[in-house]
Amino acid sequence: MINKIETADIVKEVEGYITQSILLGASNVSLSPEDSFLQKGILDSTGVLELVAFLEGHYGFICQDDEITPENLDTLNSIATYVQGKLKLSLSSEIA
Amino acid sequence: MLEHASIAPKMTLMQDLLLYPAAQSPERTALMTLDENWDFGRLLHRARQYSQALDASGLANGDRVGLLMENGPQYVSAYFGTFLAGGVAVPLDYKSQSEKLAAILRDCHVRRLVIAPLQVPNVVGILEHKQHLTWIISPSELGVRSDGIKCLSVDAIEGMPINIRQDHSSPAVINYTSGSSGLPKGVTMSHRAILANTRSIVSYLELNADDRVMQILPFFYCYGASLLHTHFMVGGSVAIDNRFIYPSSVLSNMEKSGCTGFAGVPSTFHTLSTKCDLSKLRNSKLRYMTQAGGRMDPQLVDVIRSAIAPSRFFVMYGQTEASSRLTFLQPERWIDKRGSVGKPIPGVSIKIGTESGRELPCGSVGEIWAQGENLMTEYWGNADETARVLVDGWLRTGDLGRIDEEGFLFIEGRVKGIIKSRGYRISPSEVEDVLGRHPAVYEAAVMGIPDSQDGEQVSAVLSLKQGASASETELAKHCRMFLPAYKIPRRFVLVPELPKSASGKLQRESLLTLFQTVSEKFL
Repeated sequence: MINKIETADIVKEVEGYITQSILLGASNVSLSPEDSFLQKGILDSTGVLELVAFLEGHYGFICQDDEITPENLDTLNSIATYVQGKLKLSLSSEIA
Repeated sequence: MLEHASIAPKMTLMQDLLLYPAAQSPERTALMTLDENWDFGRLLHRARQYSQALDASGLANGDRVGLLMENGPQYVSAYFGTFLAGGVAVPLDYKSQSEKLAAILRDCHVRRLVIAPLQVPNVVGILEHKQHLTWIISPSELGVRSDGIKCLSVDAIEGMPINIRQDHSSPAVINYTSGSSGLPKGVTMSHRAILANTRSIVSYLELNADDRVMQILPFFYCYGASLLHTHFMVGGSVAIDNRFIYPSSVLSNMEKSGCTGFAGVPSTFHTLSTKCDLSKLRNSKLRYMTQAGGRMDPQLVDVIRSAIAPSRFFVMYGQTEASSRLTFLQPERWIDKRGSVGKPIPGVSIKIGTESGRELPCGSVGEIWAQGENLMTEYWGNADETARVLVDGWLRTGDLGRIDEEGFLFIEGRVKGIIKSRGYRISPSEVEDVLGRHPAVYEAAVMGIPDSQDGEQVSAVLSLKQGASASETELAKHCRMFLPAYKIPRRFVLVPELPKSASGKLQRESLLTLFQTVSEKFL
């Protein structure tokens, strides 16, 4: 059975995590799916590690060190693409 | 080691760091970013645009100019543009809360603020507090303001040289730094002091025009600024990468850009050692790495030295009040002087002294005093605090240390408990004040606990009011309302009562043992 998670769902889940657990509910920061975390100064190095830990725990995969890049993690949309890619890979491994 | 007194002898003002290489080799690369390279000629032209904009705003010699931008060509242009216009640069931490930024601007009467478009929300916050701003200068058009503040876009300015007269002993930069009282103090440095320090660093790092440093440290931090100063002094270059939260990407960029040097604080190297493939550090062009900004775990020094060999790793020590650098350890001496921060840099003297400055015998532990051309002139507008730390031409560092029989300095702690964590200086009393505002908190004590990643970890011991409760998350969230992330305690320990002496004074020394004996828990 293919367990597909929609982009919008990932965006919503990750946004919720960042807002509550990293930004600690700060009301003066709004996140759109294309906002760059780097440019908005939303994450520091500890925040990135916490985000990675969340993704690994919540979606059930391991982030390799060389996958922790702005290309994969700098926006909600890029995270969604990254997560979907990892899940697809994981599913392919299971089927194989 | 090069003879530091002979290095760039004609440079007497900060703007000479740009004027000289631009005159000699205008097409030589000065800055590299992810998107483009800037040569010295282009950088000088942009700097002149900023200086002309400041001149058009009525800037008088010695007027302070706030710089609120992240690292990039615009910051560097605005920085040198300020000097070209005769102003005094006040670099600002763009991650600071608006209230603190407004306090700094108020303290040194900044009327002109140079910002990047991304900082507009910050400015909105600043304007809600009392300050004296009359001009906002930005790279591009920001739009007309309706609150009496005038705007100037640098893009619209031609960029002609301005004639100004300056003395090398006059203020060039004011760096605000936290003191034990929690109120930021404006460390005022002259052109001469910064250039003297720059020459010394160039000397012991043996920098030349082929050197290129990877810049991840912010320019508003004196250690970060020293990378720019030193490399421009020799006609070298700076590769700017603001993505160190993704360290592997920065390492790849270092290799691709042909960087010969890298500078970091203890948490930088902890990140490299835990999140990166260290073999990537064996970059064929990498010549050296430097470390300052707090105590680095000797075991971590061992790991990095081994990873980058034969490239060299310099452990260094300094203070903003010393224009950044006071001592360095020759890498080869780490073997027999493990844990030392080395000997004074050229032009600097160090002694271990009593409260009155009387020198103590070799091996004694006491306060570190420093003397040299690189010392600050004053804390801006704060004669009392200046007189307390600048005594008979010596700077009281506030750090405890000892000097061994060969003249090597070992840091033993801090006199007044300033926390140095992840490259930042954090005042315990500032965090304690914020915690004290939480309705459940009776009293709080904050300190730095040695940590291999952060250098020191901001940690809090609390007693709560009778019947009150508070979770770690609630306390952290409360702190987040008033403090930037790096100041929020990472650990909270709850006790029935904070330890006090017979006279009622908080006994900070015994707090350390609390972290070893009391388990962290929340009601």
